[in-house]
Amino acid sequence: MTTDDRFARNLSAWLVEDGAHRVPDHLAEVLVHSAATHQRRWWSSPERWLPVDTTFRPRLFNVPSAGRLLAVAMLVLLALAIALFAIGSQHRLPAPFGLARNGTFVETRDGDIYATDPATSVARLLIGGADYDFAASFSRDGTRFMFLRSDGRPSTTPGGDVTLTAYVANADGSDVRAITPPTKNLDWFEWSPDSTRVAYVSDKRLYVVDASGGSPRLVEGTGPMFFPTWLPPDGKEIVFRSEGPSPAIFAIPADGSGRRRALSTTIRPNNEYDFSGLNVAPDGKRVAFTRWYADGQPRIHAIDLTSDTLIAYPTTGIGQRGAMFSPDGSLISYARLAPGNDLQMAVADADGSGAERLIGPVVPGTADRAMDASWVFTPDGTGLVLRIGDDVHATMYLVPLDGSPSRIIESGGYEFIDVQRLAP
Amino acid sequence: MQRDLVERARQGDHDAFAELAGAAISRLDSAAWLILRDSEQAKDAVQNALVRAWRDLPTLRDPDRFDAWLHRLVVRACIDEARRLRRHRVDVELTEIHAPAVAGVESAIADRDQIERGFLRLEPEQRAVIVLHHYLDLPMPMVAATLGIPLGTAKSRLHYALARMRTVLDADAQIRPDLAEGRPS
Repeated sequence: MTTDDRFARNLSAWLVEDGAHRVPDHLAEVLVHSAATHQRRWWSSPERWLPVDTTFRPRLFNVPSAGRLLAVAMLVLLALAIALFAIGSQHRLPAPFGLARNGTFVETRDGDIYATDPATSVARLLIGGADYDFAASFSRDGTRFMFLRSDGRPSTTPGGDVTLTAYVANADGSDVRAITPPTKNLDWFEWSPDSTRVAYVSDKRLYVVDASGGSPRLVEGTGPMFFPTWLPPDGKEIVFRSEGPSPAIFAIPADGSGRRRALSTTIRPNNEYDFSGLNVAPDGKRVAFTRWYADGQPRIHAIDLTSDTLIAYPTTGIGQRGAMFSPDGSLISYARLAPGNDLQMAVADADGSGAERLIGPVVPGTADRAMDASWVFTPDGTGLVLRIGDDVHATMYLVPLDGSPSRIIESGGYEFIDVQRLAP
Repeated sequence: MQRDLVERARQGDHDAFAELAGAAISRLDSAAWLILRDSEQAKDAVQNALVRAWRDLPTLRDPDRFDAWLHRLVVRACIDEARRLRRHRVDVELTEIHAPAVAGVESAIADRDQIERGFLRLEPEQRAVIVLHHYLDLPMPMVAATLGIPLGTAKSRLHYALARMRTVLDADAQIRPDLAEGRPS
């Protein structure tokens, strides 16, 4: 019997024992209350009227009329106008790196993907249905987004395997198609700078797949790895963290044409948890990551790839985690941990030259509960979209970098934020 | 038999509803207690759920789904109750486990003692998934239907709840190595 089996059996046995002693003595009280309560009318529930198609009978034959012909002609003209506009707009895509205009906010709620208007907090369903969809991430040109879909068979055993399929859709949620087969332990994916390919991890191995379709290709020679990130500005190489007792940061040609190369020859890992949470600066000159020290607290650092030196980001807190460079590469953001595990976002100069600036709300921490926070920079580089909470109770903030007050965009079970990049 | 009772109750037969409620209340009360860990709150949740069940029974489309529907009402009532009183201190009733002092079972008893501590650390929403799956033995699609959430969400919620319990137990075991080794403290 495995440890998991024993745990599950003991849990079930404990639940049965603990629940068995209950002897409800309030049935009579319940029945008094219920007898005094009027039942709802059966027709008062809108659910009973669904599906509506049982009362709708389409006509089998339609006689064209002059008005209908005119309407068809107008629709054709409208379609032509939209096509011309689309062709004319094709060159107005944002550059893969640098500041861009803020577009649609996408997020996940209960396995569906929504587009949210940050001004009104109105959410519009992009990807719905019975499947569990999550982790929407826009391509760098903002025209498409990728997301993950559970195939319905994820394990319920802690530590078990999860099978997911990656999908791509147009930014408006149309043209949804799978780009990978159902894949065991699919994890950590990222769009290439030219928005044509996606790199992802499955079982600690690196794959690259064309976002328009085709078979995923295993990139050989990485060894066990994680955190694949395309190296700007040309995206010819993919940066990753080698997994093992002595981790390191490497880069490898994305097309599989060469061997991996170490990005630092001088910086040694503190322990097996070092160099986690890789984030590459948009100019490709720095790679940020989290280090873990003997005091059990994380700190943010970066390697300057031009000089192979380690950059530290001084903090007044007890720890830092979750490095992310701004769209123009001038700033780095992270979560600052204060005594008591209180959390607040901070930004600092990416070259490590200045002091950190605290922005946004202070989120009280608790000793026995991990704080769930995620964030992205807005493409225009003026703020962070910060989500704090769990998959049931979360609050999403728009946090300006200039220190002005944050604004709550919405509250609820939203997860996995991303913001579309549009041409300035 | 139950379908007939449900049909009669839907048409306003309160005696039929009393029979349904009597058959279910023990199971519902235990589930509510496990989720809320407070006798009064559990009683309120079950009472609210059953009164609501009577009120809304005519709108139940499929009588064969009565049990799942009733579980859903109780779980939702539990979560509402927990949210209403979340800021209040919850007095925890500790149930003494009377186990025979036989060599070889001590380890299992210690495990259950730890399980209770881990379970108490969970949020009511997480306890609900565990109770539905591991106590009421509902398959995961039924758990998802009962909670009114997608299957993937139910699975991930169960996964994280169990993982959190194990994290708590691991931390507990590091603090109290006597328990980790299966020795009662």
